[in-house]
Amino acid sequence: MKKLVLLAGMFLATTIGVSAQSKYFTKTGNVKFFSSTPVENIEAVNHKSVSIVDLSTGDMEFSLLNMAFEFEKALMQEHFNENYMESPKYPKSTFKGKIDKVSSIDVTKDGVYPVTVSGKLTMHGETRDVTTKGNFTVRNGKLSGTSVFKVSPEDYKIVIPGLVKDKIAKEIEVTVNCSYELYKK
Amino acid sequence: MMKNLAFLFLALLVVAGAGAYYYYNKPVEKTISATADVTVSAEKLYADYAANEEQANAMYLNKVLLVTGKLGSVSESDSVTVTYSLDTADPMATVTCNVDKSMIEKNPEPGTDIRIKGLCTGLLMDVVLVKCSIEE
Repeated sequence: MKKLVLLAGMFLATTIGVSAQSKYFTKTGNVKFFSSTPVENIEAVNHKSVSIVDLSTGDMEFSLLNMAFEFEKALMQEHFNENYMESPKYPKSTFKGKIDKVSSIDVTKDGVYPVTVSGKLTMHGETRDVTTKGNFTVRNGKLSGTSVFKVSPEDYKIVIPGLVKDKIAKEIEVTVNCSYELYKK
Repeated sequence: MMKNLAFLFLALLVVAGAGAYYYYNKPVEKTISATADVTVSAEKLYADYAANEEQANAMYLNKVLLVTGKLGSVSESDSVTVTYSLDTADPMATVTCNVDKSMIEKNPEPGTDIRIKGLCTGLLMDVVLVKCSIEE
């Protein structure tokens, strides 16, 4: 009996230990988008996305500031912020969701762990359900995550004027790349 | 007369075309050349955001800020950007300022008081400024 209590105690201690060690975050996540049309390619990168993942619950959150997207051409950046995303009105884009089969990710073992993430993507004041595939990678105890998915501006009520319709793709490719650190509070 | 007019028209067209081409392809500024709209300490900037994000956005978002404060840390975010973080009263939060590597002239040490100018893009965990330059 005593042994059982001890075992239970040990089990509890390890699980508490694990849950305290299950949150990872980054303040420098990369989110890139790429619009490809025969007329023109448009690319922009945001190096300042914040993301938190909890490997015990599978919760995942993303948040970024639209104005921190960097473009090559000044005019594109201006149009993106002023006309399409209306960044002064909607400064943030966010994602809140769950990682499917999160328990498959073993941070003590190097490897690539394919996952499916589903949740709610909010931008331009509109929220839509999204599901995407991605990979978590563990290398030398470091956790990183990548995903590539498509977003249609129309779904988020982003109006592209007729004049430039040919220059902006109907579906924008978004690439996410985050190197996480253990969250210590 | 007619010939002159046609020539003038053509010249104008070329100038306008070149102007439009230049305007369309103008690269993004690496640092903000405009003078600061608001001068504020890093502590106050974060405190204003923490107290009321909406109000703070009305005051600071999309504006050029000159932020004063103690440099907490310097880190390389990627191959082209260096992040200077200014301390706030909250140990978990900073004012982070992105500086393009090619624009760095001085290398202030952490712990020193600095003045930094940049465009305010809002609040995540930190207040984020981009296209920053370190001021005298």
